[in-house]
Amino acid sequence: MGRQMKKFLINNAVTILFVIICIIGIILANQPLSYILGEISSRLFRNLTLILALIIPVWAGMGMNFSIVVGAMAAEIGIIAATNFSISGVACMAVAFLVSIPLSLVFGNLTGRLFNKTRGQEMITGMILGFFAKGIYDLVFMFLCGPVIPIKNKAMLLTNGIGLITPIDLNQETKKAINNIWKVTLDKALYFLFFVLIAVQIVLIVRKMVKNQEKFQWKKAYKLYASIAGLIVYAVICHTSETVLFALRFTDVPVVTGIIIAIVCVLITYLSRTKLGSDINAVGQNRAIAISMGIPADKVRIIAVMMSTLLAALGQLIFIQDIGNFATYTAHENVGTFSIAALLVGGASIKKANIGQAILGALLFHTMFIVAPLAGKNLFDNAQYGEYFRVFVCYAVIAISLALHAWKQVMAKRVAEEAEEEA
Amino acid sequence: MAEKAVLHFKNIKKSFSGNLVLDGVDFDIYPGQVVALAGENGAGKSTLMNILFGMSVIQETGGYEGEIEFEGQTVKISSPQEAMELGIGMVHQEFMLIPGFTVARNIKLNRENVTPTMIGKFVGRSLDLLDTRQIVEDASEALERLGMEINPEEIVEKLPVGHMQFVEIAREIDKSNLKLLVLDEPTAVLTESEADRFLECIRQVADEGIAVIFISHRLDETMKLADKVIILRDGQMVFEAKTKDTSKNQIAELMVGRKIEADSMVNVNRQFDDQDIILDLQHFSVNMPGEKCRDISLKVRRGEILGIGGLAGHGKTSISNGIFGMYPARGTVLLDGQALHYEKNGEALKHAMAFVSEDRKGVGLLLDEPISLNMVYTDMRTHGSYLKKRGFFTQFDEKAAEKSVNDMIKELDIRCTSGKQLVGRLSGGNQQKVCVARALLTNPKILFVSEPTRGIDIGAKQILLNYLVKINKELGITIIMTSSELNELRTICDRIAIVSSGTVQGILKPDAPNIEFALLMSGEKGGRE
Repeated sequence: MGRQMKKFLINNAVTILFVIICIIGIILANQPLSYILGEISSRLFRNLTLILALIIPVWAGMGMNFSIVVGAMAAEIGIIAATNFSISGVACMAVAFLVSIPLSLVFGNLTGRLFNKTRGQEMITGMILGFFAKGIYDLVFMFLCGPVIPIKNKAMLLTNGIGLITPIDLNQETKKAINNIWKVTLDKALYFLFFVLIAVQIVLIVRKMVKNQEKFQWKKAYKLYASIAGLIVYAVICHTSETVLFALRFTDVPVVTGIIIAIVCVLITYLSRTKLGSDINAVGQNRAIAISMGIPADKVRIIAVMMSTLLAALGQLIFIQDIGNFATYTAHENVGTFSIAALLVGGASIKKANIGQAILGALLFHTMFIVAPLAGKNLFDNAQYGEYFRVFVCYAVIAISLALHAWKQVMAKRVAEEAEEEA
Repeated sequence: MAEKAVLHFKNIKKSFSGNLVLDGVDFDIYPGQVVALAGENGAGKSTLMNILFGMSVIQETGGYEGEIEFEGQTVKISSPQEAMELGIGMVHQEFMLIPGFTVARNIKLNRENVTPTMIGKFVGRSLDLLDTRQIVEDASEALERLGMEINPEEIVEKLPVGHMQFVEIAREIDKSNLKLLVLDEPTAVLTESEADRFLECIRQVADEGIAVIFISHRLDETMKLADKVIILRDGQMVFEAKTKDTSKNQIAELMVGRKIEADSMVNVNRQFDDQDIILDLQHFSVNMPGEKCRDISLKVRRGEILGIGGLAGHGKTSISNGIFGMYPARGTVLLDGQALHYEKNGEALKHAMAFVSEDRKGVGLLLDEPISLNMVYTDMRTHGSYLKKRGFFTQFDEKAAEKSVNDMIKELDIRCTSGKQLVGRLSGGNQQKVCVARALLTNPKILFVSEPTRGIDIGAKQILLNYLVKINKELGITIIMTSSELNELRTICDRIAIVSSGTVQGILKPDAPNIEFALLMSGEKGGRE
């Protein structure tokens, strides 16, 4: 038992550390629940797609895809194009997405080819590629826009007619266009979520029963019980605590964004059960064996990066429409590091990642982001400390996770050797 | 036989940069037949298999001569994929399984059953869903054909090592078009009972009408399983016969082959004091990847040349590497009766032992440094020779080094412009001489030499071997020489220990008959000396 406990602690060290940081941070920040819930909710919807974009390359054995920065650029190019033609509202987002699809696929394809040439160093290659791509991006939009590339919307150009202004503001209709299509309060959304969860569990159980022609297995349906218990606990809390109910009612949830995220999750899950998903996993676990079995490893890896880049473009679009503007030349800079840090906080490693870890990571990481400056302000009377802390923590998380991963591998190897010797 | 041959090698020849490694291999295999391919390391077995599988090394080195006929058709196989499509399957010595996948998924890897879906229809077949149920069903069927009770839904990582080989066979026989199965030392990692079980499986597969090429060093297995035995030696097919018309001893004799003249063995009759043990290994095991040894117990007498022989991958090279702290090891090493802390790097060097590594370019030499520095480096590091004191610092004393270096260059006949020439520019043989010189400059009591003649020309080879004999005689250095070339060991050694499956199988005199060496190498414990 003690051994299992130890194993659990080691395996989830980063996540546990973050839970503690978040709890302390929330206490120190001393903010109303409604504020914290609202912030967490909006940041979750804003960032989750970008984090989800990282999952597939991890399966393919390429580690954390730092080059999602390139996908983010594709999205920004899409928005610039749509704004140039003065399209606004949901249409702006649609056009931006349509423009970013081919761009991100091409970028992803080229990135994948580069990764195949630098196998084993995908992460550092992806990071440097991000810097390099930024150089080209800056060249195009800082110097070529205006003199070489005609810009219709003159308001986007700097006064001397060369280069785009920064930041680029989305107009009032476009800002939060997707989020504003349909909003419900968080209390309703959570009820809905629980009902969906229970319904899905029931459908799965019934399908299994019909397929295997077996009776209902009371012992195996623990997921269903957990969902129902969650619903009951939630209902009880809502009815007993005024503050919680108030906070939940105070918070709006963007339904359409939620649906987009849900679709992305479903597609990623679907992919994992397809032939292609199986190939991706096989290549990720052992490339040499996969090739010897006739799986075109290089092609599979390129496809994985292309998917990741496309999802990153979608993620950046959702991000920008929520904020309402973006710094033309720097908005993509931290996309990679922040998303990766969040995923790692959720318990993922460079070898394993899933949707649950992405969601948990987004929740924890962004809770820390919200409360850190406030806690710093309350503690030291200076928000700068908290600001410093959250930036520092972001990089620390990546460093610690990578070190822990390497350490775990060494430990696992040692255990295996010992086991072999005993045998 | 009335049936058509599955495969016919017709006069296959292959050379690597002028070196003939296959010379006129010619044989055929019929459905349901098990052909055992025997031969020493370097006899050409793997080259022949590489040709059969169209591995890229073959084309890159200029292709091969002769023809391969598959089911009566002349074929040119240019990739493993093509070989697979023809119906040739292979089970490798090392496991080719995806560790995190289930047994069933591994068996059906890249041949998964899928259920068509809408997305798959529009985007591409690769997005069809896996039919997990059918995959498991097919897999259990294949396992059943082998008579194995393995849960197809178990993760491969969690399987006992012995079962993995069966999963590989199941994967091959699940291919509906399988006609020829190649097994490359499949029993190397299996225990005895598992190996027996495995052989039964192979028999079963053959009885289904699949031809099997079986490569193994275990002669017992070969005799038990094969219908026909083919022996390669130095690229030539020296023997082809029905198993029932031959005997284990005959095969062993033929594998080692080459006769060696009695007078070329210089150290057959020297006498040593069996009580005067300079180095004593007790239950020594080394975890060197690909060359593990376990439970080595060996006594080295003062002043002798001890050879360590055996096949590649059986752990002979790990002994010296373990003593010098290159890989994790355990067990007791007594040097003159004192325990040696071999796990500490450099400890062996401090105790007057020196090592000429088999990895000349990786471990043995600093290729971008001159001969002089390479020669004196170890001595400088361990004994602080060739150093001038300058206050708190020390500086390399080139003058002092130069003399020793020049002596060594002359002594070993190293062909170079001067001691300042970069080692990377020298030929293999001269590089090896630098390695030996470096080891000698430390004034060792015991010299470990690992594969000293690998990749060097005949002339240099002879000089090196003669030199080893000379320093042994004149300076009284005990030499422990590891080599894959048995004849080389026999020329200069007093005794030869044969290591197989990670342990010492026996110790022989250099003039012991071929057959005894061959039997020990194939892992059959013979009587010790």
